[in-house]
Amino acid sequence: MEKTISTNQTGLMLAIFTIALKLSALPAIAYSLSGASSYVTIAIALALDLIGTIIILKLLTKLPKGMTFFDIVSQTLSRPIAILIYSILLIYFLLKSLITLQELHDYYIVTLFEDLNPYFFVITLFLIMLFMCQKPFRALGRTLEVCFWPLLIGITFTLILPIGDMEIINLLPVCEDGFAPVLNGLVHTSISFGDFIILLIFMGRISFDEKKPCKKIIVYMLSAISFIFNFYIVFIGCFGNTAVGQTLALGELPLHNANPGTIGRLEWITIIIWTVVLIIQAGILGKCSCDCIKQIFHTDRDLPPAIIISTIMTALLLISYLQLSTILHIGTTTVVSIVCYGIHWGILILLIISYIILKNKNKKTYSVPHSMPVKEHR
Amino acid sequence: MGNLIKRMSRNKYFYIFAVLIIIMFPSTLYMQSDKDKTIVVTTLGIDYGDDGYEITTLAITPLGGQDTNVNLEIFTGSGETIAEALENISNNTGKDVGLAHCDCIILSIDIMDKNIAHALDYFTRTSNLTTNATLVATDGKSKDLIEATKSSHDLLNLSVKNIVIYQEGKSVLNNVNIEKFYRNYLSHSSTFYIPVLSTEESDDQGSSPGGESGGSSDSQSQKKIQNNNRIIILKNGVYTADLDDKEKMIYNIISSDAKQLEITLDNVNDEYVTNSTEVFQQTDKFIIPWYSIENGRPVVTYHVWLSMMIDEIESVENHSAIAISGIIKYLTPTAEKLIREKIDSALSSTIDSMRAKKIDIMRLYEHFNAYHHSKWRKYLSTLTDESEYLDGIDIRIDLHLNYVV
Repeated sequence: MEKTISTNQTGLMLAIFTIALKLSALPAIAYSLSGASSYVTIAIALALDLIGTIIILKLLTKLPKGMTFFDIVSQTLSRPIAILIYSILLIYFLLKSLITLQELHDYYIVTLFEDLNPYFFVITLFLIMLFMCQKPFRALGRTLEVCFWPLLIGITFTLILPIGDMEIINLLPVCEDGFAPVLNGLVHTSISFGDFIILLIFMGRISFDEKKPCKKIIVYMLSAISFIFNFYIVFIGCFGNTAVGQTLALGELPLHNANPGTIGRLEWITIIIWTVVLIIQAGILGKCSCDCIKQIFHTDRDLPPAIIISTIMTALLLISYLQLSTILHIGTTTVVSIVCYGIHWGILILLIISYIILKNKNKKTYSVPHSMPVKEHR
Repeated sequence: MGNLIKRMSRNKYFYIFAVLIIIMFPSTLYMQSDKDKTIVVTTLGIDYGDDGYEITTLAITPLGGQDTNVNLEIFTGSGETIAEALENISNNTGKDVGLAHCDCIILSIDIMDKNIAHALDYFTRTSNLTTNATLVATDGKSKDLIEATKSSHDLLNLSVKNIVIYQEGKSVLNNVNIEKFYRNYLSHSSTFYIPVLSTEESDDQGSSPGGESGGSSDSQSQKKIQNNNRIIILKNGVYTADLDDKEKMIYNIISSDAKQLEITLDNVNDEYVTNSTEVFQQTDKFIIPWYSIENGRPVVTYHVWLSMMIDEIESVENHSAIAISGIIKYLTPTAEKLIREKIDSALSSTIDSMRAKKIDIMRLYEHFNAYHHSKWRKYLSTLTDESEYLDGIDIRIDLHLNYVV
């Protein structure tokens, strides 16, 4: 059996996963949809995510240890339905990883490199993904534990430096054009939210603390939400009506530092930290995709799914090279957004139904089904 | 060493690393150095004529091992668009124009007869420009100012940006850059301010270190930067008016970013001086703008706490110890009254000018809309023409003076 991940590691992965896709292109997209009220849109969407997270965590603590989401759906509904759900999740994770990798690439060519050979980028990325997808979630969690403080300091700098250029009038009045723009934003940006879904993949692997098992994870989630909300406040406060043109928000904010240039080009801290965040995000998504394949095909081997997922991610990256704007345009259409909401909340409702069914069956002993053979992994 | 290699060769990642090196290393051997491919532009000037745009760039051409002053060069290019003009420079020099270190863009006043947004559009979209460049205007050709900048840099290591940053501390100017321009341009008030620099010829017979490298500098007559503290207002991106001295003083007082203020009082007669001119200098300022709607009328009150000290007393009758005393409070009731009268007069003139030219530098529309949205909309609905909203706004300065010995 794969080694368990601690609540600390789970909380960190969830926090980074929550932050990663929201600080690059989403701010400009949200502003184009909701105007100056986009921070209200983000606040509501994050609140919904928090509710989803709390529901899943509460259910996780009540389920028997070692029972995965696949196991619970197989037992309560049926195995074909579990395979169908995991297939949907596989496509969902691959789509999100594509957005992450394209944002990473565009971030590099805008902030770091004049010329970035696509083959060098893709080959290196393939090898990184291949390596990360083979490793257990615990390795990713440990990596985040090591990187946590530098990440925190780096992204905190991003918030503090531009504060001198903020204007409160850019944030007011709240909902000047009513609630319609906020709704418009909520409807079209769902692909960037629903991050609690990865807890379904972590199900059965989390070693909860004895006392207050969910507290640490919820605290991490609240911290991430607080950071994201403050980022949007600072972003809209600084840029106002020019926010819609800042397509890579995290890279643009340090440029508007009101402090003198004697303290150097501090945006380099942001650049370095942010690339680490995006690579880890892509690794988590890749690992989640591998787990979906392992469950669908009932295998415990790590290398073949890692090769498949890395190859698919690389192929998708090449096919959609320099098409981030097209991908985002598709991702923010009404159809895709509604499908994403369906995935997030539909699967959550399925989980609740499955839990109720299990509970009502009054099984005194919950058996871990032999869906996956028990084997030590290094 | 042998053991180390043996250990490394047992690790599979060593082979992956080796493969990567073998793939990537050969391609880097033939890569051209960046210094041979790019000219690094520090200042860029834009002129506009019948033939389109003329771009003048002050660039550093890295030559290694030489005094940096001789590496400054001026390049010009023209075209119907900014992109074409820059391409023209690249064609003539055989190098790419690198804007990553361009921190100043000079616009000639001719461009401001039309909307300057059309000249700045390239710079908002290109990823070549990674800085938020300062905007400066010149009443002549931007090419002349760039030549003067080169001369000043050679002699004094001065740059246009230094001058602008200094001026920002003394006036309403604050972060006069591209992003700020667009923020104001796209706002309701659409008002922006730009400092204007001039050039003057100086018959300098001495040679300058950069005189031999640049073909454009005349060793006999050099151009110098001249700052007459001129500030112009753009409305909808088009030149509208200059700020006069009274307006500059008022905007300086009510701007929280202005750190320097001088108030000169003529013909002061009080217990310490007779028929004297006194100059007071600001030492500290704290300002709270307060926006309210009173009886349906918008009122903005700038509560200003201003600390001042005496800077200079000019008088033919300063022949007593009092004249040079450092502990006397020169801000007498008479002097204070004169200061208040001066400010009130300037405020009245400024308000008239604001209303006549419909220029809203302090973004009063945005402030009232943000803080009192419903009452503000109600006020606007009472107007026959919404663009004349300034006519009904009551602007006050509540001044608290303090003297610093």
